[in-house]
Amino acid sequence: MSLIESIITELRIPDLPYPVGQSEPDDRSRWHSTLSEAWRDGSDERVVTHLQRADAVWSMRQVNAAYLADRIMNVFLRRSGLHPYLVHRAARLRFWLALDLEARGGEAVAEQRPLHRWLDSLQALRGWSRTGGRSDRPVENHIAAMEKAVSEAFQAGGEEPLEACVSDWLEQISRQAEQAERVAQRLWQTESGAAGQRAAEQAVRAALSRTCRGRQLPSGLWAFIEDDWRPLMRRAALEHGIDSEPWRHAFRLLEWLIWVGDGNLCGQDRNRLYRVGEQLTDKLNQVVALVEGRDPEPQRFEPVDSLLARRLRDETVEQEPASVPEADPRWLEKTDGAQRDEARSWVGSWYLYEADGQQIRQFLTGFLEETAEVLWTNARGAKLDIEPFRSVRERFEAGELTHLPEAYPFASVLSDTLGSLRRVLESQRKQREEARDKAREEAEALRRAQEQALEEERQRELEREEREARERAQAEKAARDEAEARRISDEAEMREKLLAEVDRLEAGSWIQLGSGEQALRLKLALRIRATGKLVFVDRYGLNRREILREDLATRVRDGEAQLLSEGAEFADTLSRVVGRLRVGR
Amino acid sequence: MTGNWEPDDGEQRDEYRIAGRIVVDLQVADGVGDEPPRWLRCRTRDISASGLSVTADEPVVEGALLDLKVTVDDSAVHALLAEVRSCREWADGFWRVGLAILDTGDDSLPAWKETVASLLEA
Repeated sequence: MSLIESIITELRIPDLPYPVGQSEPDDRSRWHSTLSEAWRDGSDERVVTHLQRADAVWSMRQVNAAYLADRIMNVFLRRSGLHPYLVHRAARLRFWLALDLEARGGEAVAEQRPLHRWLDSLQALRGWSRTGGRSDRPVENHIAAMEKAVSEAFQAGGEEPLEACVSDWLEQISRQAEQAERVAQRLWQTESGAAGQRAAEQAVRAALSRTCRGRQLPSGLWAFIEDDWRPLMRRAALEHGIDSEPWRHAFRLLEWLIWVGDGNLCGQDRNRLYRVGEQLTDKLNQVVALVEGRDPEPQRFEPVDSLLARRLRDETVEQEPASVPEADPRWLEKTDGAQRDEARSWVGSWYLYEADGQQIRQFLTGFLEETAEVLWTNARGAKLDIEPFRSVRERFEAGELTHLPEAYPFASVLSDTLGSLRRVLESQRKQREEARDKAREEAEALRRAQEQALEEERQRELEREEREARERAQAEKAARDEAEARRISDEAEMREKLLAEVDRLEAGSWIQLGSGEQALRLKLALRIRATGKLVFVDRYGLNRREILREDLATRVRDGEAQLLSEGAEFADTLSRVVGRLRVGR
Repeated sequence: MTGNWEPDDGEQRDEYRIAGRIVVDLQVADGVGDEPPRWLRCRTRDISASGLSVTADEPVVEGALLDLKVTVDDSAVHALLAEVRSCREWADGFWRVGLAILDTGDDSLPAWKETVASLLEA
């Protein structure tokens, strides 16, 4: 089973409306209609929110397909780096993705699927900003077409409308990418040339600003500088650079011209004025030849020569304050190598910033070395701005400008999302097994405890019954023992009485042995005190019988003998005792 | 008397719970005279061997011992006694109620635990 299939069929996320037990889910049409309606209504909610809201029984597969679609789309859109507007529109595709995941499982997000290809293609729009201008239209049109295709796919129950739309889109963005590259190349060439011009002009302005500030110049000389020497210096800067010999010489001669022009300067050093006067025109000729590659026209320096002549004659020359252009003196400095290297490392990346609540994206197409500026373009390769690199870095350091996150392909989103869900799944499997075993053990333990309690109750009942029986038996035995003791006591008493009666027998006293016809009447003939024997005979003195006194007492007790010579009282007592003994036995 | 169920204080129960939605009826009042008992119909957020977390339309009193009926499958209804361990109102306007199932000495709790074990098997 694939990982996605396992996730869809097994995972349980808290608070999601999973079924419990074997409950059958509601009709499948409910699932389709719920997603379809959410899509049609342009819902920005999660898919699972729609499932939670419905009072329906959803299958594990449906709930997890919804959850997975939400999660995949959320991760993708959070990391895509796309403009929030695009993210917002693309996020709604989660409803289609949920439907497809439920139906196809892992196949729904395979590389060849139109949704996968479309989401990956959105990287081409990383630089797209919603400006409200004409450039928004193609993207807006495509998004609308894609949404229409998804609606048709929902109705048709198949992805064919999506496939057609995505194929068209991929062709379109491929053409646009080529076109944007061509536009950007042309723009770069143009801007590189313009940057050189701009750098040269700014260098000349800075040179004029430095040399003319606070000076008084005759109008003729000022006209020569503006009309002749300034273009020459611009050319020297543009064609040779500000670290070249031609530029340095032209700049030095500008300083000489200003010195000669301002009477306050040259009027104080006549000797130097003569030296400058001797050399100035020659040097001007040399620099022109150096910069322009040809000798100047003979009359070109007439305004300078004329001024020099008047200065040497010490004539009064009318002067006026020099018109000093505003300029940044840093244009006279050579580009910093470290800054250049740093700026180049910024080239080729997307950046974004906020303006009027809108997120603006711009591409740093190149670093213009001559001006230390960068060229910003948009996704179509069109120029957005030229900005000093210094300013770019300041905005970046202030947090006003940030890097657009690197592109994060859909396959990586899937891999990350599924990787983390695999860990959750494995953990849940382990927890489920442990919880299952624990629940069973607890159920068994409860039942054992209940059975043990019942057994203990039964045991206690048994013991109680046994104890009561024992107590009854003991009571009965005690009663018996008491009766026996009484009997023994009575017997002993009677025996004593019998023995006393026997002992009271005197010779001639009669006894009867046996009863009925067998009865034998005997008379005590003799008592042998030493042995305790009584010797009886019949009335004839015959039938001598020797009976021990104890033996006779026993026989009397047992009714086998009677002492005939005693009175009625004795007989009654004897009868009572004998009767009681018989009952006791 | 009870299992090792802990109140739901930010999903911190240490016992594994089965996330899922099933119907639970809580008897929130006994019947008096001709008046029948009042049952509150809730739906589970999750269930475990020793308790349930449910979503209710109205609050219940913490600490109350309530009869409840859980319909796990269409055929299996568990009649249990539970203690209300927690009851909190959430942002969605519903109440989250934590219930700990009590051991009443009969087979209701063991049978519930076995049902949960069977669900965990699936």
